[in-house]
Amino acid sequence: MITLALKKIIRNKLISLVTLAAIILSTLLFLLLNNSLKDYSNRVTARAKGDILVAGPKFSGIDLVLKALYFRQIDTPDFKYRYVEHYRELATAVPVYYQYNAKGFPVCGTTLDYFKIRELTCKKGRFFTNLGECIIGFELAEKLNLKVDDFLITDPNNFLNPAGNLPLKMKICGILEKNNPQDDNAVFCNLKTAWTIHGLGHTHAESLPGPDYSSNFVEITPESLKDFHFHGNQSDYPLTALLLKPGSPKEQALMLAQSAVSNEVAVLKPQQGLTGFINMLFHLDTLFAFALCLTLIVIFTLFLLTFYLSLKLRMNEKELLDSLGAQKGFFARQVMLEWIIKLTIGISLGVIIFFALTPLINELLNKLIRN
Amino acid sequence: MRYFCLLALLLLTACDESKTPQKSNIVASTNYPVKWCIDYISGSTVDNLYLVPSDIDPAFWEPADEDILKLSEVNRIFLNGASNEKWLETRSLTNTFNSSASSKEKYIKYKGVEHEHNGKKHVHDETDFNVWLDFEIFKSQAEQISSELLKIISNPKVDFKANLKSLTAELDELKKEISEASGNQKKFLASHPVYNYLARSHGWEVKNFHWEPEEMPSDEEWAKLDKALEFSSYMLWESEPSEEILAKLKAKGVTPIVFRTCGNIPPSGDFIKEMKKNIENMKKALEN
Repeated sequence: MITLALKKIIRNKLISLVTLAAIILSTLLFLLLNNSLKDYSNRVTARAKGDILVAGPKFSGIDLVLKALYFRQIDTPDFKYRYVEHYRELATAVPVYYQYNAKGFPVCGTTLDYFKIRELTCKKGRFFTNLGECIIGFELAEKLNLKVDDFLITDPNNFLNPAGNLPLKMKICGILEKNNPQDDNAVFCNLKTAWTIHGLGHTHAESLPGPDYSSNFVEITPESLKDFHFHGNQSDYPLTALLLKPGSPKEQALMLAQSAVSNEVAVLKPQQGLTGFINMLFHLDTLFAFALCLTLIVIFTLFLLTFYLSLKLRMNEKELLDSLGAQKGFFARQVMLEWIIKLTIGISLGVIIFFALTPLINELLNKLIRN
Repeated sequence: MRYFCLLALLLLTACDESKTPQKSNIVASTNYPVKWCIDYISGSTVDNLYLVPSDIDPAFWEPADEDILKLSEVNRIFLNGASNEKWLETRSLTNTFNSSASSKEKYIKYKGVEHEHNGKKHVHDETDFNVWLDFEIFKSQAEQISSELLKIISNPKVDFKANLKSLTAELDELKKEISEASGNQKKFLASHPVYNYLARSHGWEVKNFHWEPEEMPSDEEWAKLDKALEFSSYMLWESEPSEEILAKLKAKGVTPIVFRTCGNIPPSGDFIKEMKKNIENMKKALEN
């Protein structure tokens, strides 16, 4: 019977090919919808997963998470540096200050602990240690064709202050290993470099007449470093947020409890906030269920229709088999077998094609997440 | 079965550690008095990273890139404060602890160099960093260091509080001995402006010079000294002045007294022994 079914499939080449193509496409559609939408959601929330908490001004909510973790250009109230001392007793407290860009890429002022909690390693050069130095993400380096010891100048305007401050010329001291889309496309400098871009630090070096306004940027040289200083109380200097990596669940619980009764500080579990936000915005849960149900219904209906039509068309064949004395139900079994063969081949090919396309789909998703 | 359980336990421990990026129990210190304090209080049971080379004044030390990376790894960097760590001005390290922060109101300020900013000439106040020579401040630094150590070391191997008590007693004794050694002599010349805290805490008056032990001062400086001889004929030195300077000082009737500030690791002994030597030097000089 299998031989007969196979011969039938091979003989009706065009019909078999069209049916196979339909099965392959249906399989692909199902897998893409099911897998890619979930993958997209997972990728978006991946950075917010784990045990890193985000501390910032009260009521800044999801905006704070998007700005501190995803470097989104959102106006959030400034946090204060003074909170570092409080939270470092309970966790690895990493300050983050993001207000400015360089060639459109975010410039994040932070400390060396950022690279530890994000598990980022240096591909070339070294991590920043001094004012005016920066380390850049892997993809950023490729896109702008930058290497160690090159310079990168911050954009004159920041997104909150169109009048802007004088750009800072930073020396690239290292390039990070490829890791995740956000860090791969960002510039990292020490917190004081970020405060300098903000106009909080300056020098009185006698050999320097001050910033060279004709060159439209400020450059920190070894001479100017010697007496570089910051005025005012550093505790009041601005931060975007603090990333907190607690040492134990007890410390995490303590920070969240403190936040609940504080009028100034909010400590957020980014994953909770972000998943809720995405679901609220896109109704992703409902969308997944709806899209899958719809796809399954369409595929099932189409196959029923095709099956019914093919049976109708092959009624002559059934009559011929009956007249030749074939067993009762022989025709039905043969048709079923043909479909089983076609479905097996079609679904297998669909799955193979899906996995072959996965790198391409991943790349597309990465681009979507970045934009 | 026993080996399987052991393996499972090891794996669980390894997994647990990877989840907690807590820094090691290593601390760092940025000048000798602070380093000595940590070692004394902890009975040297705490790994205390000290990167300042012995031939450099810690207040003028400029850490290299690899030093900054090492310092970022430690649990706490204990600072002297009072502008002793000028290099921190351009670095971002959040694991620092200023041991003299609670004594800020006792800092001695002096006028810095005049400069221009936004078209306006002004002078910043500079801070004298030799705070440990005022033993009341130094005792307060020790208390702060002890509290901070107890915050980061949950199971101390020695009794920190008992050691702190002993350290405080030794500093009180030293202060008493210095007062006794100086006796009625309340006025001193200082080869460098590093004794302001010492003078204030003992009710002395000092006239500061900027002389180096190995560098012959200019005629102008010697003329300044001549004028200052009415004020005092005893001159405090951070180390033994050169033979040439010594001869000239003696010719003018000036008695040099070597009083090491102990800002960096002494060639031998420790802070207490070095201070005892200073006391002996003072006694001998004032007896003659």
